[in-house]
Amino acid sequence: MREYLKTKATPTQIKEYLSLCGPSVERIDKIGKETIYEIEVTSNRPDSMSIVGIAREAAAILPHFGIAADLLNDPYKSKSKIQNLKSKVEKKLKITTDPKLNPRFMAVVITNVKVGPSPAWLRQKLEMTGIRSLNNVIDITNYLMRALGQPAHTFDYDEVKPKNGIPTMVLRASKREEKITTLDDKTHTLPGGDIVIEDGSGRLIDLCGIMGAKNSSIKSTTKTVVLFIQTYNPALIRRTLMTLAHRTEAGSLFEKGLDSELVLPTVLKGIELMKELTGGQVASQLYDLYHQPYKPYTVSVKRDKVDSYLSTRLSDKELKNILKPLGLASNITKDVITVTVPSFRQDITLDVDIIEEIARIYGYHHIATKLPDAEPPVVMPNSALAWEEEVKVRLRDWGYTELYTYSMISAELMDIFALDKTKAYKISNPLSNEWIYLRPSLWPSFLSSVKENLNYREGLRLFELANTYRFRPNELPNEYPILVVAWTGERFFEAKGLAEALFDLFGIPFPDPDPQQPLNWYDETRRLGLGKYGALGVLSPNLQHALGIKTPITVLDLLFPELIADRKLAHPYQPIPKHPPVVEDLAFVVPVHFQIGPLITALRAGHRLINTVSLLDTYNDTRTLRVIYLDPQKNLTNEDIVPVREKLIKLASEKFGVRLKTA
Amino acid sequence: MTELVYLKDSYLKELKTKVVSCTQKGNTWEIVLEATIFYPQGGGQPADKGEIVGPNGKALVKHVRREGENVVHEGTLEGELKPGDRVECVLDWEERYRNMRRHSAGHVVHEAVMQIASELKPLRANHGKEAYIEYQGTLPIDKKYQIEQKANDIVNQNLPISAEFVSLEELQKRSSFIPEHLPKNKPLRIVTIQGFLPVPDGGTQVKQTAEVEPVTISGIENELERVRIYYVIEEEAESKQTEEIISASSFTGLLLEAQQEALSEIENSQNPPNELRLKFLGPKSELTRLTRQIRLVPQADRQQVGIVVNQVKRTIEEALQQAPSDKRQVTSETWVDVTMPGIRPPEGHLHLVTQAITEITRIFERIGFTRVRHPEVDWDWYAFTSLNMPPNHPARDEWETFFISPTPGVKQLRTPGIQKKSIVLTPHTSNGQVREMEKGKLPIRMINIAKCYRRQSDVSHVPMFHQFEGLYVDREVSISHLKGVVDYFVRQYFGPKREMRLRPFHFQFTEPSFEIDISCDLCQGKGHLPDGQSCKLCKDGWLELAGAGMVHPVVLRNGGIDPNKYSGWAFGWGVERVAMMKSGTKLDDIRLLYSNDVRFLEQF
Repeated sequence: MREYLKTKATPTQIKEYLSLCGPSVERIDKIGKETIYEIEVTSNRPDSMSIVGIAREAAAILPHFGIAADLLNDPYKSKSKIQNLKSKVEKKLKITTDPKLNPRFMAVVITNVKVGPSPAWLRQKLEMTGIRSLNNVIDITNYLMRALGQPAHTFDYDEVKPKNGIPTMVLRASKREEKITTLDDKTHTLPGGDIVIEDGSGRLIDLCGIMGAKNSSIKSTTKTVVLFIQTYNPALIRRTLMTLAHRTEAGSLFEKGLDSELVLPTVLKGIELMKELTGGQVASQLYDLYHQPYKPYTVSVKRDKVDSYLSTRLSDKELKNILKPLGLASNITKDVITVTVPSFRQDITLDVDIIEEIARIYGYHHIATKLPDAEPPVVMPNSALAWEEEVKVRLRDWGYTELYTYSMISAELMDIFALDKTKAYKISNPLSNEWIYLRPSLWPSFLSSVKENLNYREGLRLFELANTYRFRPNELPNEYPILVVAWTGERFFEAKGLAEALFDLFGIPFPDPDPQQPLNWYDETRRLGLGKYGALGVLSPNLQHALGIKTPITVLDLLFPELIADRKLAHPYQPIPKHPPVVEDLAFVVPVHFQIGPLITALRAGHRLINTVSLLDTYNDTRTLRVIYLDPQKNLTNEDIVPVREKLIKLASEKFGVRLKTA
Repeated sequence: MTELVYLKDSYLKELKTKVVSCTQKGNTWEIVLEATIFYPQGGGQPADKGEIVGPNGKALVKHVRREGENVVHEGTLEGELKPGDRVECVLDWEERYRNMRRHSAGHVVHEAVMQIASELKPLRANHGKEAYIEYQGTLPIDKKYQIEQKANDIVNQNLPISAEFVSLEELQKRSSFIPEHLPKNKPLRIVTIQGFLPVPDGGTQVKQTAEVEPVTISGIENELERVRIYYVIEEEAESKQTEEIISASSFTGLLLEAQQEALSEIENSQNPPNELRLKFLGPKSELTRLTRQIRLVPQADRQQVGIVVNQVKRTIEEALQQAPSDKRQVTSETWVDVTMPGIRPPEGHLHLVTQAITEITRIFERIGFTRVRHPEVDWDWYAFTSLNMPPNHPARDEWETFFISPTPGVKQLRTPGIQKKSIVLTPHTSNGQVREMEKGKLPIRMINIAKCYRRQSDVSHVPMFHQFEGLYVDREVSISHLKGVVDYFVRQYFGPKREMRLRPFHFQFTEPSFEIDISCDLCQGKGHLPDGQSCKLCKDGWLELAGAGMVHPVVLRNGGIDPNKYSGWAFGWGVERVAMMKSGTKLDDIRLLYSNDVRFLEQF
């Protein structure tokens, strides 16, 4: 780098200051006397993907830390050398290109080349930056890419076949299914529309911007080479890279869009090195097909906006000092900064791009740290989020452990649960067979995780509250949160009790069972539909078997949005009774398969003096109900209770066919 | 045959009569009189005591029994009593009256029991010191309050108690139950509390139920198919002295005072609860004494005061029940091994991600950022295109995105400006930016926390993860404010000593763009440890945390906001990443977070 940067800064300083204000220097390694910097350059800055590019950044940044730094050998200042280029024109090329594919095409023929090993300094430079040294001609092209950031290529001139007697290169878009074998011996079938070069015999000799063809490559016997430096339409290069899945370093540079103005300096540097290292001589004119040379443009930014972003106002001089070393000529007035954008910084198109350049060189560490002092907006919080949090915390405190399962499930699980694949969202580029469909139900992923845990703990109490993805044709999925709780073993009444507690929490009356509700996933004898809110029960033996689970599992499944929609907002106060309740236990003898729920409900509603009716005890055919009588107005006497009790007993025997147990 | 005077007049305390016989049996003398007021033990009522005074001697009567048709008085004798001697009988009236009251109380309690559990059949009763009635059947023990209430209702109604002689036939017509083995050929004595059914009885009774004084049901004992209802009366009937009117408020004051005294002693006392119960709710308690004085409260207020009495009783009873069951000195039965493990509440666990989301939400709430929810599965437009990343843009490569297969036969939908073309699993929460702007309300202070998805799975990547996205849009928004908010979060979440810094970076949807680093807590930001070794956790004292930037003008415009009037910033951070960095859990494989292994989840 010292070839391009004059500074007394130490590598550690360069690392620290560049990282703070420019490209991030990830690490520095010392090999012998040389320092190797490993630098992450962001994709919008191909101009920095070279030694000279980093040197330019360093020259702009270091002075702001009080360390003098100057850019040396700026390639953009080498144009004058063209006058010194003397050549004996004896080799010719016929070139056809398309400016839409290839903004600039430069080539020059060099003859009397002696292919051989590179000198030690060049080999070392390449190898330390991760490129294997091959021979002097190829090494020169790689050196140009490293130093200047412009990939270069060489052909064996004799393999560029003539047409009408003149070696011919036709740069064009490839046709569908054309084939080319690249330097690395790989044969590619092209998708069509890729940039290629055809020679006079109709052979493809270059997969442009990515890799040359085997047929025209430099061999140890090569005497005459074509030094070939171009820029390409980045979108087309990218498309070829993506469709062939064949990445090269050159391709990664070209797809980001390179500066056509850098082509000529690169050619000149290449000729210089060819002469020096291979003994070659220029044997042709300098071919330069450049349809639309770069015209500098300007971008302006209001100073107020700069001040606002930085929370400070920089002086004209400070601004100039920041912009100039970046190559940004500026015109600064009281209100506006206007910058002339050089060819290598065409990433700058908007006012905010200039702000970024100013802010980073000024230093983000110099910008004040303060909380916004403006008035915060008045926003009503999303109550669904608050309820989710509340329910999760309750479940934790009640002893349940939360799972987070993946939203994607396998085709196999879809089948086990008989979920309709045509009504599910399918991932077109899945990573694994496990993750193919967005889950229409929480059960598959959740129960799979429950199953995994069966061997680790007895008496599992697990839950998940997460989105399912309901299918809507031609639309985004309805992201629908579901709460699922699972117990190992037959825990029907725990599941029901939890459901009751949750319905209480939401202030929703416990729903009546709906006989029409489909409950296929549950055991027929141990299930309870909760209407639109969901269901609970023991997992059906079929499903249990299909999942490979050996113990019964009890599941509670609640549709969270329904709970939220029906939640009771107001919670009216119930006066605390001033008079003591009368507590009485009534034992009833019930027939086989008697359902006590409706009886309790009916008795509860049987008289206004009845406060609660609860199941106290179950023994054989006896159900003991505890009845609490309460009159908010007065103390109850036996005379008050007797008729009520008689009414209850009559109700129980007439409507439900159960009689009071007598001694 | 002894004439049983006590049956006719139970209030007769003295009687003149003649000695029929007087014989010595061991140390005891047995005396038979022509008539007696001494009640012989029977029907559950204890025998009377007293004196028989003759011209030449005096017998101290200690026990009285029936023997055939005679009543035998047992006792000691000073001097002599000869058949035919005129003697005067004097009862130990105090005890006798107590026995009478207790006996009548038994009848009152029985009537109360019949009101509550008419199915019970009386078996026997004891009206002695341990007074109870035994029935066939069972009764829940908490019925005692009801029985007590009913019984005292009868007492308070001051009903007359009368006795008469009837034939067995008549008795069978009138009585609710007929004991077995009643003689058929003799008149039978029955006792009736007015308004209730007559009961056969041979004991002495008070004339009015009020004389019984308040009754306390001290317990209910069920054994097999039998239940005993124990009751207690006032041992000492209060002498009805000067009775003043007490106002409701001062009466309530006295009640509350009694309650306070009881509660404080229950709290501090070492005595067992049963003892305390007797002391504070028993017949001699202050509360009972007060209860008896309710009648001194003006009639209109009595009901009100009665409620307070009940409340006080309940409060004391609750305190007793909550008091440790046994505070007596440690015996082998009450010894507790205090080194045994305690009984824990149920223990559940929230997933680490939920814990982090809650904490992050709370921190941002405090500075006016409200959590919102935007789709996890969204149009390409919101996830990429509107964020200045048109299709095929190289910047998209950094997001390994899952796409949804198009539904067969469905045409592309187009709404103005939005290409509803392809659906992606959002690879970041930034899709919430334009969606939030589209709500059309400014300023914006948003935290969007959601699941995100990327095609990656290795030790440091999971295909599903969570991000939180901050978005602030207002006039004159500065990089300063981003630093301020990030600094606030970093200190609140990671600790007050942590620092943050911005470094330049590039994102298509922000300009300028930053990477956020926080100072390392292992080496305190120095980059090396005290022993001079370089810190392995961080790079030169800093840890990379997240990306951020000033919202790109194109993005603002896509959200319908004029970038010349408004500016803003945004950041998107990984929830798992900050949670891991904070907790120091040092997960060597982040996929463990989504393995759902309870052995892992229970650790948090």
